[in-house]
Amino acid sequence: MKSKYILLIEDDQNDVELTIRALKDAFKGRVAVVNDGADGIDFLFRRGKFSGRQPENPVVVILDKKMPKMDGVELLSAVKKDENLKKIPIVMFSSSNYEQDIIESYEAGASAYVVKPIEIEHYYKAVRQIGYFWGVLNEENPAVMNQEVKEK
Amino acid sequence: MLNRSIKYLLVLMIMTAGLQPVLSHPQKKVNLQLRWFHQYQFAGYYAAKKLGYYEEAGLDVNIIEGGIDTDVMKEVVSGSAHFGVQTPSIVLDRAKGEPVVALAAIFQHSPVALIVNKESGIETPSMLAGKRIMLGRKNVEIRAMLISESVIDKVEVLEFTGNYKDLINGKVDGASGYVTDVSYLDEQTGNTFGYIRPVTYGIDFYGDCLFTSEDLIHNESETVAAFREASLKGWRFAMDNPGKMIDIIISDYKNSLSREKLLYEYNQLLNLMHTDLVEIGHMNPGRWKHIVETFQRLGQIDPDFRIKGFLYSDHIDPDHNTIKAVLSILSAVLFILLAVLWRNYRKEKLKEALEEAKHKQELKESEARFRGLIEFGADGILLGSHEGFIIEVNEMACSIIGMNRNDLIGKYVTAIPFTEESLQRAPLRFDLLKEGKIVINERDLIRPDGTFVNIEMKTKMMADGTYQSIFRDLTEKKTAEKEIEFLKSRFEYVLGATKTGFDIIDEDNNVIYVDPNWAERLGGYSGKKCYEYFMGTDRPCTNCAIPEALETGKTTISEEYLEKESRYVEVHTISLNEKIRGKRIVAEFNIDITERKNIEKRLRQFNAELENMVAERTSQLANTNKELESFSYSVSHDLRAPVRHIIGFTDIFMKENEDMLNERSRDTFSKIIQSAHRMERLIDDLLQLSRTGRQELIPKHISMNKIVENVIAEYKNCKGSRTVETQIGQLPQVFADQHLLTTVWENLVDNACKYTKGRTVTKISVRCTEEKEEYVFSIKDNGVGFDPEFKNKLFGVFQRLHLSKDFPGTGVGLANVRRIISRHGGRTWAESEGEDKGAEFFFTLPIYKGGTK
Repeated sequence: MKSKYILLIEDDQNDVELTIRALKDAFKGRVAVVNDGADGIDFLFRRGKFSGRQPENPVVVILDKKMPKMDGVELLSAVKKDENLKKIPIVMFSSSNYEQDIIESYEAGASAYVVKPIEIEHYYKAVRQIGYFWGVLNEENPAVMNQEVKEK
Repeated sequence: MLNRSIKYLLVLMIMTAGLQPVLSHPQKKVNLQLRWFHQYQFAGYYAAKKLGYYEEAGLDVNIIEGGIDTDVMKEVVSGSAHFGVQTPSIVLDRAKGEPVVALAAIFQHSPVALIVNKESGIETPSMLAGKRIMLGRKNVEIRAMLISESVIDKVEVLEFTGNYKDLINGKVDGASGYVTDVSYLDEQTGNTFGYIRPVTYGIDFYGDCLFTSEDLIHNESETVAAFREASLKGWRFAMDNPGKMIDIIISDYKNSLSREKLLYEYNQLLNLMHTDLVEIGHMNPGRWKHIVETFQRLGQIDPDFRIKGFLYSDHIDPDHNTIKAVLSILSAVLFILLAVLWRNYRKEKLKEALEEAKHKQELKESEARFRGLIEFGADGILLGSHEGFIIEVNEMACSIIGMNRNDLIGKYVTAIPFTEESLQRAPLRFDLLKEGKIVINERDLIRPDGTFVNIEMKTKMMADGTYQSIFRDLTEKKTAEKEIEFLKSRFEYVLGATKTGFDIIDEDNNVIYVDPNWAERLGGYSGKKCYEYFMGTDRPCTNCAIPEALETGKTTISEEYLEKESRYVEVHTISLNEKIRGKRIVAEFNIDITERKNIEKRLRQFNAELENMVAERTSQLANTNKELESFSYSVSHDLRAPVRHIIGFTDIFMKENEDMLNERSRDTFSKIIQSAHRMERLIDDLLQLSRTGRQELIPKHISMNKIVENVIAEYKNCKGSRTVETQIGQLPQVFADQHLLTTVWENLVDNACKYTKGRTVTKISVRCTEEKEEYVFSIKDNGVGFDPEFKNKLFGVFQRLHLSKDFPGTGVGLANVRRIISRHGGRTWAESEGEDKGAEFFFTLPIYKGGTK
């Protein structure tokens, strides 16, 4: 079985650390991290410095909405345009509970929208749940899987 | 022949008349007895003697002074004196049988009075009761008065001393005297004397009388007549020439008398004699009769007494009369002869006169006719002689000039009160008139009563050299003209001052009149059409208001732009009732509105600018809001992250080093985490506060009940497992922003829950009452309440009344509530009865009245 991994696109280093720690409990797989939208795109589209990344796509992308260089929603839109990549579930992680942001994200194609909890416990909980769900419970999209096999 | 006869007859008459004095007797020695001491009282006699009247009459008169004891009557009756001067007491004597005859009454009234001392207080005869008086024997009036006043028996009558000092020293209370005498004394001594006059009590007798005996009248009637006449002549002199008379008295009779005293006496006598009304010496038989009747009434004269023979008039000499009668008849015969001769002469003359009269009558009649025309003419007509004297004026001329006919006729023409100015301006031109020209002039005159007249005079010289002038009063016309001129200039001034143009135009657009101020600016206008003149165009304006004004008869208001003057006017066109040259006319007031128009333009520009500015501002504002929104958004996010990290890593550290940490360290880290939490909450609240402030308010009709129920449901468990009892009253529908109202209730319920934490049973009740214009909502809890003293502080940002360790909170919640409610137009407040007594929070919302807010 290919090793599942989660892609975390987060610019704040501390948040990265916290998130990884949280995921550790729930998800045994690897967590790939990129720090900005541009890298994120490059990673997903396997170009630039990430042209040599493993062919498998992550089981879920945890995407921080607010990022330099490229906004979360922008990336979302870009990804959803790609035939292959659009199937990858993307969870929008955001500080904002602003209704408008939520709508915008969903419209752009987010699979879920999580407001970064205030309480650290809740934060952990949320992250764990995401990791568990997408990384463990969820059945992957067979088409994606097949495709990847094809490519190989 | 006739004339000669007349002359002869006249001479005869004169001669017969001249014969009379020849019949008188030669110089005779005569005695006149006076009744008192020499004074003005007897002036007439002095005068007659001094001036030779007696001498002329053939008399040699001896004037004998009288005194206190003089009995004049006795002297006369005995024959010692021929004549005497006495009071009307002589009639009493006559009644007793004495043969006295009154010749003349010198004083028409008696100067007799009872003199009293003022200090005695006696003012009336009746007050004399019990008093003592001295009376001269002949003061019959006083006696008569005392009898009449029924006091004669009560008075003691003493001998007359003539010493008035007795009145002062009290020897007597009253003394008879003449006012002429004593009032003088009085004034000299300073008014100590008063007097009671018999006249006051109805006793009005003659004063001094001249009398004689019957014997003398019978024997020497001419002497009596001559003496009487000369005496009266003397009296006439005495009363007409007081100055000279006084000289005579002082020099010849009594030089101890002062001029002053004599003059005073003279004045008093003047009053008694009435020389202007009555002939001196006149005696009225009727008056004497009255005096007799008075005495008879008082019992002093017998009722049978007959007055006949007492008066001089009863005794006129019969011989004398006969001669006089013969002469009279002669005169009469002569007169008759004269008359006959005269009559014949007159008869001849009459015939001639009648002829002439007839002729004159005809002339008179025609003259009257013309006179009538002139007299009642409407113009003033004046006829003047060649020399310039006014011969005739008619009524109208008199009226115009303001003078009477009498004041004008015969006077030179300059009697007419022309003003200096008008005579200088238009002098009388006799020269032109003499050339036969008609001279017309306008002149002013000021009437004697001061009024001003302006006249037109038309003068012509007639064939006979006289002048004829016709006067016409132009004053009214002039006044009217002046008034019109004044009004006109006033009107034009106002027009000029207000820059209002006034014109009159006829229905064919011809300009009839333009006010001078405007005309000056535009140049001359006569004969021009209004569109040519005002507009500079060659045809009528398309929106010409004149036809409409003429049609409707109403004032039409329109706006015009005057090309020629480059200005705007508001034209008021008024149709006038008059016609000029048969055409209907309108009057126009052109009110300058250039200023107004400019202002309007500026206003429009300004409005546009303003609108631009507003739009700009609005967009700026919108931009700013947007910026602010994203700013606070960013800020809160960016603030959140580090807070999260602090919490996160601290937590991790604590977990990883659990065993290494002691109580104190754990505590320290706890505190760090708590603070971080607090900061996080603060950020959230601030974010929300700013959002609710900027957020657009979208009001809808919403059910308050629903909102509250939803909110409470969310807080159902309200932090912990205590019992929560909620009571929600009947809440109305409101017109408000749903989201924001939800936030309000969230905050309020959150508070309620928070501050009832310690209670076993949390009670929260929500109510609403309806006031006149608003709904009042309230949420009440049974929590810890607050000190009512600080109730005004609750709603401030970051304001807290409880410690955060007891009740966590940022103090932003209520500020938020206030913000939201005030944006809805409501008010917020809170009440508590004190610590631990719960709290009630109120807010109002205006009752929606319909329409758009």
